[in-house]
Amino acid sequence: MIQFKWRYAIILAILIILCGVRIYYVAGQFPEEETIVWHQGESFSWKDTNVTVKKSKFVSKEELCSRYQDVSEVAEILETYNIEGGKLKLLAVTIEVNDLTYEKFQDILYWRVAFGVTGNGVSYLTDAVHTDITDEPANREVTLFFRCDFESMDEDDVDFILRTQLYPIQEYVELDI
Amino acid sequence: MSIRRFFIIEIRRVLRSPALYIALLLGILLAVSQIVQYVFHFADINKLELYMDIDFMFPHSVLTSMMGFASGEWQSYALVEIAPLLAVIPFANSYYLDIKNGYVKNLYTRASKKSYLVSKYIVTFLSGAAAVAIPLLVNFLVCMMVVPYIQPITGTALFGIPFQTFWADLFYTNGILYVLGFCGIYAIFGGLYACLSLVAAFLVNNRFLVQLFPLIVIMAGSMILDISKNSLYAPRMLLQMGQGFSISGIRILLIIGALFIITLTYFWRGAKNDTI
Repeated sequence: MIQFKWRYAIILAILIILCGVRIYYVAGQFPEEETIVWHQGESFSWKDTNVTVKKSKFVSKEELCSRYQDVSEVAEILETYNIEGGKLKLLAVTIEVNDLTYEKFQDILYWRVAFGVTGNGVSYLTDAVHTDITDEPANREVTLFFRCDFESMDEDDVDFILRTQLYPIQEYVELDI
Repeated sequence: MSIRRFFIIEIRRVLRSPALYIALLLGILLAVSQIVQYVFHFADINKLELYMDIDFMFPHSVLTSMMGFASGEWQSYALVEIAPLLAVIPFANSYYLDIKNGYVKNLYTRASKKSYLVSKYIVTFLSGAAAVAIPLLVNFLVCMMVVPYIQPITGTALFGIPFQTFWADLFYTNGILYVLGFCGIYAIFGGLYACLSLVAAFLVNNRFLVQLFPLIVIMAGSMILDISKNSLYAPRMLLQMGQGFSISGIRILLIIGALFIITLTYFWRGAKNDTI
């Protein structure tokens, strides 16, 4: 038999304890993740503003064009993201925002849609409606457009969420499409 | 003597061999160099606490910083490239040397060939597995001591693992298991690389060539796969924890199976080999 040496076992145990303490200390320096879930139609507070996701639906190219005055710009967007081809779809999410300012509007542009909370799925923000937002707070509706790629998944099998914050509070809205 | 008795003797030999510690030291140096070059820098960025002020910003965590995940780092690629060399350093040429210096003659007079061959295969496999996987585990552990472990969130485009890739579900539900699972894959490859040297003992008559044999096999195999436009089957493409390339479980199983079958010829040749 291989002789068991207490000396090595003690050194190993001390090393493991030191590593554990250090890992615990590093983890303690960062706030714990917290998850808050909202539902479509529910009002919630975001950056001292009341926000409600009013509706979310897939839209056609024509519907997107109707939101823009400059059609060539829309054509460019469509070409860039290949919305017409394959299994790419355009998701429009309308949000009602109280006391919207230009700064908050810019932050809203970072909101992202994901397919499901865990596991697979990602999508990218494509564009937001060109809305004249001034620094004067106003109650406004904002529609965000997202490009959803269903190349390798079935849209009926996944849940859609709109992520509004990520860390340390992960906050998202479950969408009813 | 039984397989168990042989196994203990062989394990004792490998643990007392300086070559094992040289191989581990080389691998760990590579792992630590990644920490020094990248992870300390990420820890400094974390201290700025930008993630508290900027939306959709995540602190640098273990699964964005360690070997295989940090952008621009070269150490994970280096580890994969030198894995066939690291794996053979500890014990892989011991079978060849045992034959050459007549040690096996002493053993075969006392016990069956089978016991010796099986225990040699297992211990060689374990030594190769340790030489390749332990540096990765050390990197993971030290990384956790510098930056926090934070469970990645899908749908953010902040993490390197895209959707619909190998073990993506595991990555986004339990990142630690994902890393340990990949360490297991590295260990299997390392073990099989080391066992390729056992086969080489019957093919070449030079101890250095025996040790270089796995590297030659892997390089030649990768070259053939590249030429035949099947480069995704090459081990260097499969041993990518950050999944910079498309990985599939079937491809990993196929290559492991192929390497395993090659190493099994050692038993066939070993049983036929009339040492006495």
